[in-house]
Amino acid sequence: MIRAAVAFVLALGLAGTAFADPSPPRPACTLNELASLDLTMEPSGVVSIPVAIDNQPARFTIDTGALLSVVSDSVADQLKLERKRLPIELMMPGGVKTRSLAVADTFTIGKMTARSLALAVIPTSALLGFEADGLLGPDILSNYDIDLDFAHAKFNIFSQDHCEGNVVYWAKGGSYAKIPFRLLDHLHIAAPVVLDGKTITAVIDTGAERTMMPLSAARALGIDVSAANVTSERRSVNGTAASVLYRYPFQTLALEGVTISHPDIDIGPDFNLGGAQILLGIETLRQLHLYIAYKERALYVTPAEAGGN
Amino acid sequence: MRLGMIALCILALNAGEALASGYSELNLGITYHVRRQWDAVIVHLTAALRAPDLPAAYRSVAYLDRGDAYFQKGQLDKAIADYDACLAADPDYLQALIDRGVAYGRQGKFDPAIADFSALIARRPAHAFIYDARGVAYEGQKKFDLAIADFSTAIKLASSDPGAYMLRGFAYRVTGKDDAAIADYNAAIDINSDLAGAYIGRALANRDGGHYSEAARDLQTAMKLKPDSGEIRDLGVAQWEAGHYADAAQSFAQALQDNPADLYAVLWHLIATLNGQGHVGDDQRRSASARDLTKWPGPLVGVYIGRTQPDTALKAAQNSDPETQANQMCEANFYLGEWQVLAANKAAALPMLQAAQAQCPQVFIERDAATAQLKRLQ
Repeated sequence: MIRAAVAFVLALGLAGTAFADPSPPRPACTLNELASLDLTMEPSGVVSIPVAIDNQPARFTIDTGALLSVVSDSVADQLKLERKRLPIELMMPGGVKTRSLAVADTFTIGKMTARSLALAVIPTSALLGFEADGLLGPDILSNYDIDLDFAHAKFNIFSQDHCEGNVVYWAKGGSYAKIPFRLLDHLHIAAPVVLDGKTITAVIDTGAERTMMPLSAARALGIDVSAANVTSERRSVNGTAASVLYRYPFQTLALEGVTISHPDIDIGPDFNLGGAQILLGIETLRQLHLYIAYKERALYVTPAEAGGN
Repeated sequence: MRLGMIALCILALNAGEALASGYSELNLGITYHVRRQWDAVIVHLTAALRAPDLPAAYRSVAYLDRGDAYFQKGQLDKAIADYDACLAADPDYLQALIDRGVAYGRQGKFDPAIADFSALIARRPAHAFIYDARGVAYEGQKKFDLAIADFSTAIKLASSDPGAYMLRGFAYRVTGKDDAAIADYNAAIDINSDLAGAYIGRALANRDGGHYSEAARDLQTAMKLKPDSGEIRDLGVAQWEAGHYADAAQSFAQALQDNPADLYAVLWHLIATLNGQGHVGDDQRRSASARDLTKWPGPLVGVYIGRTQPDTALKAAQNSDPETQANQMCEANFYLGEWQVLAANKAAALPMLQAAQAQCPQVFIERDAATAQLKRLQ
C-alpha cells in the first residue's frame, strides 16, 4: 500500500505523468520507442540522462530507488520554478527531508514533454556529486518500460502498450531471463534473486552506488561476519554515514538464468528494505542489460554486452 | 520464469579480468575506484580508454576516475592531464573541475585551483563544499579575508556541516582572532561533539589566548576521540607545545602507524621523545635511519639521528623555486633551532627560532611551535 505522503504527492500529478507521446500509433505487439538518450556515468558509477526543465538543459540521475523524482533547490531557484509547500514533511532516502515541491512548466525527456510537472525539492548538497541536477524516480519511470543498455551508454523509453514479452530486441534470438517482480511502497521494485543457492528478495535501485545487504539478512542466511573469510572496513556507502561494512566471499548471484560470479556485496547496518533482503545497486546492475517492464511487472535481463550492437 | 535455459554467466571482478571489451574494462575500473584500489583502477581504465568500442559517452568518467587514482598515488601531473581530458570529452563534467582544482592546490598552484573552483561556483553556486575548497586555496595564498568570506558562505549554505566552522576557526586563529576562532570551534562541537579536530583547534586557540587549562582539557578530549591521520599530527604538536611530551610522542607514534612514510611525523616523534626522555632508543633511531632521508625534510631527520651535519641540512633547504625554498628555510630554522635547544645551546637556538617565528607562513605548524619554544626559553 502506498504511504500517505506518497499518495498525497501522486494526487498532485507526479505519477501517471502526462508526457506527450511523440510517435505515431503502431501495431500493438511492436515495441514503441518513445525516447533514446545517451547515458552519462557519474564518478560513482550511477547514470544520468539529459532532460530539459522549462527548456533549460539539465541532467537527472536514473533512480529506481528514489522516493520521488526530485530537483535540486539551486536549479529550482535558478529556473524560478513555482514552489508549493507540502503539508507534511517527506523523508527521502539518505535522511534528506523536504516540504517543498517545484512545478516545471515543461519537463522534457527526448521528444517527450510533460506540462506542469511537480518535483520534490532537495538541497543541492544532498545529491551525490556535481553531475546531476535531480533524480528521475519511479513516480515517472513506472509509467513506461525503461531499458538500461549500459554497455552502449543508452537509456531507452518504450511505451507499455505492447504484447506481454516480445521485448528483448537486443539479444537477437539469444537467451535472456524474465523475472517477475512486485512493487513495494514508493513503487520500488522487488524481485527474486538467488544468492549462493538461496532465493531471496532484492530491491532494484539504480540510484545506489553499491549492492548492500543488511546485517540481519546476512545472519539469516547463516553468514557469520566474525568468521575468518569475512573482511571489514569502516566507510560511507550510498550517501550514508560511515559505518562498519563486511565483505563475505559470495560465489554467485543469479537472476533466473543470468549469473554474476563473485558478486561484490557490502554487508552493513540494518536498514528498511520493505521486507527484501538485499539492495542491488548500480555496481551490480550495470553488469546487465536491464529492461524494466513496469506494467507487466517483469524484468528482462541479459548480460550487459549480450547481442552486440 | 526462466526462458533462456542456458545459464548466462557474467564474470565479476575476480574472474572478470579476462573480459576485454571497453565496457568490461570500464566496469572493472569503476568498481575498483569504489573500492579505492588505485593500481587496478589505472590498469582497467587505461585498457578501457584504449579500447575502440568504449562508448564515447563513457570517456569522461574513465578519465576522471583514472585521474582520481593518479591523484591518490601522488602522481599529480598525470591526474591533472586526465582531468583535462575529461573536460575535453565533456565540458559539463563538473566533478573534473573540483578534482583538478584540488590537485592544483596540492601542487601549490593556487591560481589555477581558484580559477577551477570559481568556474564551478558559477555553475553550482549552492554547493557549500566548493566554497570550502576555494577558501583553503585562498589560505594557501595567505588571503585570509577571502578565505574567511568563502567559509562564511559555506556555513550559510550548509549550517549543519561542522567542517566549514572548523576551517573558518583555523583562519581566524592564524590571523590572531582567537575569540572568533573559539566561537567557531564551539559551533562545530555543538553540531558534532566527536570531532577531535575541533577540540585540537579550540585547544590551540585557547592556548594562544593564554587559557592554558581549557587548552589542556581539550587536548585530553581530543586524545580520547581517536583523531584521524590528518589530525593526529596537529594533536601531537599541540601536546608538545603544551609541554606534554609523553602524550606527544604517543601521538606521533600513532601518526607513523597510520602513515609510515611521513617524515614530519618521524621528525616530531624524535623531538618529543628527546624532550620527554632526553634520549632516543636504538629501535627508534634505527627506524628513522631506515627511511629515504634524501627527500625533504629527510636531511633534518638526519641531523637528529647524528647522520647529517646541521650546515648540510641547511644547504639542503635551498631550492630553485623561491616559495619552496622559503618554506623549507622556515622549517630548517625551526627544526635546527629546536635541535640546538635540545643540545642546551640557547645562544645558537634563539636566532633560528626567531627567524622561524618571523618567516614561517601563518599556516605552518613550525611558526606556532617556534613561538611556543621561544616563550619557554624566556
